[in-house]
Amino acid sequence: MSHSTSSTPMSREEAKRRHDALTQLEVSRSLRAHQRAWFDNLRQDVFENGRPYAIVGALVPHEILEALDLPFITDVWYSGLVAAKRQSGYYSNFLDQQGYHRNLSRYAALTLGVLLDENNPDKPWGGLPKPSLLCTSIHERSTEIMSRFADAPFIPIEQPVLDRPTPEWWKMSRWQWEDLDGDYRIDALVAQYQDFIAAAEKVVGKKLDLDRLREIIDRVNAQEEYFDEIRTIIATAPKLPARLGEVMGQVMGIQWHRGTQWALDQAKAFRDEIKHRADNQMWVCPNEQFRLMYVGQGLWQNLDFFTEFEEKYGAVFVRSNYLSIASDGYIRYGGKDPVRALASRYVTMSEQMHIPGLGSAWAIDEARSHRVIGGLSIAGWWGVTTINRALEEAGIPVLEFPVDAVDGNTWDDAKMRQLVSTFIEERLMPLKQAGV
Amino acid sequence: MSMSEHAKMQDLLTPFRDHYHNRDRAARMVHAQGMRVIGRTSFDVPVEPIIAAGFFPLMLTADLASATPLADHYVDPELPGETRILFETIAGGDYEFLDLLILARAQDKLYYFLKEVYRLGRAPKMPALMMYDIMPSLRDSVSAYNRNRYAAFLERLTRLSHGRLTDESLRQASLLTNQIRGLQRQVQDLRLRGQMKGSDALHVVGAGSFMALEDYASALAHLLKHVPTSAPSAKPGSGLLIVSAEPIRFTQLHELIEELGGHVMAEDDAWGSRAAGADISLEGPISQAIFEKYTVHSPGPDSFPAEKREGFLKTMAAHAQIGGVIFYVPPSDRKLGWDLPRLTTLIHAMGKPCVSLFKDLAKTNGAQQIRQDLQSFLSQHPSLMSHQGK
Ligand code: SF4
Ligand code: SF4
Repeated sequence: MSHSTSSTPMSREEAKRRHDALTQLEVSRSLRAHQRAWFDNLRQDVFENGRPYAIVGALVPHEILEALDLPFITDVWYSGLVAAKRQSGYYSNFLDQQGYHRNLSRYAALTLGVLLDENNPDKPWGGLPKPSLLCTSIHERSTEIMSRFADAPFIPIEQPVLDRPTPEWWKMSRWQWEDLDGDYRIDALVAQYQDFIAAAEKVVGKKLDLDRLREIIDRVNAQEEYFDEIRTIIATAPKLPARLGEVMGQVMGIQWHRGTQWALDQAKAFRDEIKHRADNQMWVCPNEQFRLMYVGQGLWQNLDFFTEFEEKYGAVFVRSNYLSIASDGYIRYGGKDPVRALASRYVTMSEQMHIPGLGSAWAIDEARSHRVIGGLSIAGWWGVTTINRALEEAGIPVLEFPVDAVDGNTWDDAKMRQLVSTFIEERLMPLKQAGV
Repeated sequence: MSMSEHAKMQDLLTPFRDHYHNRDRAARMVHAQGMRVIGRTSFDVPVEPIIAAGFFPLMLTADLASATPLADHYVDPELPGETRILFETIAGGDYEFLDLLILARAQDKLYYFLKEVYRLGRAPKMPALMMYDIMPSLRDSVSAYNRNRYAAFLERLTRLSHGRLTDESLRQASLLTNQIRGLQRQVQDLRLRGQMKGSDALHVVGAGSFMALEDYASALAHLLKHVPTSAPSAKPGSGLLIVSAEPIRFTQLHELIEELGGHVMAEDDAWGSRAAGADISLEGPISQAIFEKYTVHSPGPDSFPAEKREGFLKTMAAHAQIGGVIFYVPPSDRKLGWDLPRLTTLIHAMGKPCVSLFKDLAKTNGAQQIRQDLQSFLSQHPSLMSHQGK
């Protein structure tokens, strides 16, 4: 969810042209149209007409806000928008001037920057009105500052530590989540969600309708089932039917709106399009030779970078965390108590991809099911070192890519190209020749 | 302090320095004599139940200078040095002699990495691990979870203790640690009067995490009885308070400040002035009182909301003996920096100066920069330099 923060206008235009030319999926266009319309709405309702809204973290149960009709923005997502407006440098400096040193996480905190920057007449979309409610991980200290500034309640979320890690968690997560996550851990999150619900109810002046919440969760499950189908098609089709960058953008775009009818319809259209392409053998790279995976985070700053290796080597990226966690991490069946089902979904959300053992067992399983020959791992994602070792031991070479996934400054195009070429030639080709 | 008094002070400090530097020695010695040892890596883990269960409690700390070949293989380079080094020593088998190692919530990543190498069969000499996860907000909504985790901790110790962990043994242990708290408060008073250097106090207080607590209590009592107090009291406003983003497990920063003529009278840190805190109440159910001591009465750097974690800092900064505040905020900081602008304003509103040190003391050029920053801070505020010559 981010953009290169420091590329020049020229290279940005150029990248955009190239990106448009590479767009293969119809759903990419409909997603963009929806995002625009949705944001216009939010801007009118909230930014201009002052409807109360919440600022929340990415791992907070948005479904509850959806069920209460309380508009919200997600801190990292809004930061992404600020970065897309090429304002992240300005706000990073602004936070410096306010005394917040450089090593503090800037990414989610750009939201704080916009909020505090009261005297600037030229804020993105006119700036942010004060929120009525905040809810993020307790570790996000910048939220405390926003809460103080806006005089709005902050409901912190404290994740219980996963004291009994289960390596093959994805085999239990759909139905057996009470065992997987531990009842005491789920209880701990349910109790905190009750605080969150009470605070949100106070803002909107109505009670949460549990039936409505259940419907929303059902829609999320159904949406993730489409993603699951897409993953299966990509993993089992003879060749790759859609570029990974486009798949990732689509998945994230839909996930931000999960629970809505639009998201469900869009996920279905996405599945239909992928299936159609696979059925009609519309391959990304007809000469497909090497199937690769992303380990950990994606290269959001340069999603189109790898297309050139299609021509040169027949190398394609077939797998990322984003599509796979959608079905393995989000689906929760059998939730008579919808709040409990949500608590289970988020109690280890995202962590299961990092925690050594959990992350590595999953990566190996995914590598095998997707028939990949090698992986690419971007530094700076905790847990990835152990995962890379595990993949290597399982016979899957990993290229450790020395860039920050979101920072345009660390990108050296020629060097990166060379790294990938060397990796394919020296590590993957011998494997291929040996018939692995 | 006269020459002979100085020599006497050095003698009195020797046992503390010794244990402060040889951190595992006492534990290994008692283990060799047949006593069982339980390790912990955080002051969040209550020590009284460990003693009451008949174990020697050892605090594990990381020697930041050591090499980490095993950690380099498994642990991400950007994780804190402490996590990497503890992983190295624990997974490498240095603590095989422990009956149990209890990690706290703040070391969740260390816990995950250790569990994994053990699962892989590559750390066969690792001690048994337990996660003691107490959520720092202490809100009503997390209290059931916290109580449940505390109960699991007591239960585990009860099983290991073969019946030794009882209300009575918890009470005895609390009596002992309360006695130590009282003595540590006297050490703090000496500091505020200017009769003990900050780095000496860190040795005296810190040694308690590595010694048998009965021995520690008598060493403290002996020190306090014989400590020379003929030197004139320090002037009001002449002392420094250190607020650090990293736990102050070593004395480098204090020694540097002292070398430049400053006197550190307090630090907002459990390795220093916050070691004692409130006593454990001996009224009512003892296990409940211990839990409350470690949660409600001992807010740490992760406490929420800010008012809780900053209570000590504000009281200490307002103390008449404190004339300035030093914030140590190395690049590893992800928390204190968010409070820093507000805290700086607060200190200035008290009419006191403060300085923030943003470099890493463990790096050579970082240490040089810190020395310069401190020098210029102290020279701008000569009233803070009245201790030259020690
Ligand atoms: S959804 Fe796509 S366009 Fe929007 S912030 Fe994320 S990466 Fe950028
Ligand atoms: S003052 Fe420094 S060198 Fe001396 S005993 Fe203490 S830590 Fe060691």
